[in-house]
Amino acid sequence: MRNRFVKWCASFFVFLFYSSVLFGVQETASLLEEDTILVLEPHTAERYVSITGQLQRCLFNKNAENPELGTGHYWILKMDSKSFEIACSTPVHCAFESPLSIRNSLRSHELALTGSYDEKWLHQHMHQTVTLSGYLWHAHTAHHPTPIMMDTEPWFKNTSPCNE
Amino acid sequence: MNQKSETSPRVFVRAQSGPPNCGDPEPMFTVQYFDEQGNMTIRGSGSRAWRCNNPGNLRASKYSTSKQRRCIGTAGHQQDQYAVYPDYATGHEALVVMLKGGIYSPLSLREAMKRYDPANVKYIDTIISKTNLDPEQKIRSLNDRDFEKFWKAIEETEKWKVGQEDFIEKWYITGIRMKRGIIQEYRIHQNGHDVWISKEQAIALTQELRIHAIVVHHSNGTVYLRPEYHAKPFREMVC
Repeated sequence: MRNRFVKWCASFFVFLFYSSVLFGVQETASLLEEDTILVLEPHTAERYVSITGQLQRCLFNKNAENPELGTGHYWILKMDSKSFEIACSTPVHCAFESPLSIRNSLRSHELALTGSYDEKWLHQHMHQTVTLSGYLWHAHTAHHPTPIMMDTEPWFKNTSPCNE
Repeated sequence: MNQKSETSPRVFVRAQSGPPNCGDPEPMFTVQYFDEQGNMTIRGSGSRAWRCNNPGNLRASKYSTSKQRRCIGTAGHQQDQYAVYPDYATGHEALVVMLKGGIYSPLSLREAMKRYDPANVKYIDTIISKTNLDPEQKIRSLNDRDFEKFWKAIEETEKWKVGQEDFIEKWYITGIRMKRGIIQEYRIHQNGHDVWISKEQAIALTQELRIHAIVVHHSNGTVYLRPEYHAKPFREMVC
């Protein structure tokens, strides 16, 4: 009886060891060690989502600390509640946040557009409620104005980014 | 009261935003660094990357502020918050780990810089002019020398400009004078010598985080000081 228990413990620890090795291999693809709910599995195609919100144009200083360098602009969608839930729950390849950290952000309900959205069309529909589609990704540098961004292209052009 | 920082490096354990220096624009927040003794070092002016020890100008995110990245705080202006690291090496590591990780390394240099700064279409041109690398090359295929050129070009473009650093020592109370059982004066060890200050001055300095003590607001309206946890009781310091 005792031997059987010892054998079971040994098998359990071996199982734990190989599980940790396996999960360790999977985790190297993500920069996040915890709260990885929004990390998309490698080799998985990104979701093409549709986001609805009020379209606005925002000006920014090209260098916030050096206004002499002039200004630029970017477009944002002020998301409606349904789209906000999509933004907070869609796993992405470029994952730097968790649903909670997105919700806690001051600009949580705003989504900046990047990529090749039609500038002329955007100007024509400024301040209107529109629905745009694209691929979501998370802000991580000083040049990303909102916690969630949306691009016309996926982060990885093919579905197998980790061609190791 | 402010002194120039000493040459020996300090180990910072905590950091937070501070107001901009006089004459600097509003977004140019200062960064207050605290060592284990509670002494404060204020970085102002210069570039944001230098003030935050964050050469990649990484935003405060789950990644950049994680324990693994040894972030000691965040600082910024309004909704723009950035990770603060204890030194350049730690902040640099955060950038390099991100570039070498599964998110950036499969991208070409061109794709990577489009994402790094979407509003600046010329960022890749700047990187190529500094490095002479092939913009279509994947980051993970760069050898060590080329990868070093790459991150150096990014850090140079993000600007590492040294500004002003002020060291503000936090003083210890080394003695008290009492009159009719009430503390009237405190002796503090300031800049290598002892100075007596009034109770009111001591309270004001403690509220400015300049003295190791705790301000207590009694329910009857009186305000007084008590020692920090595990510090020597004041009654043992009577002079």
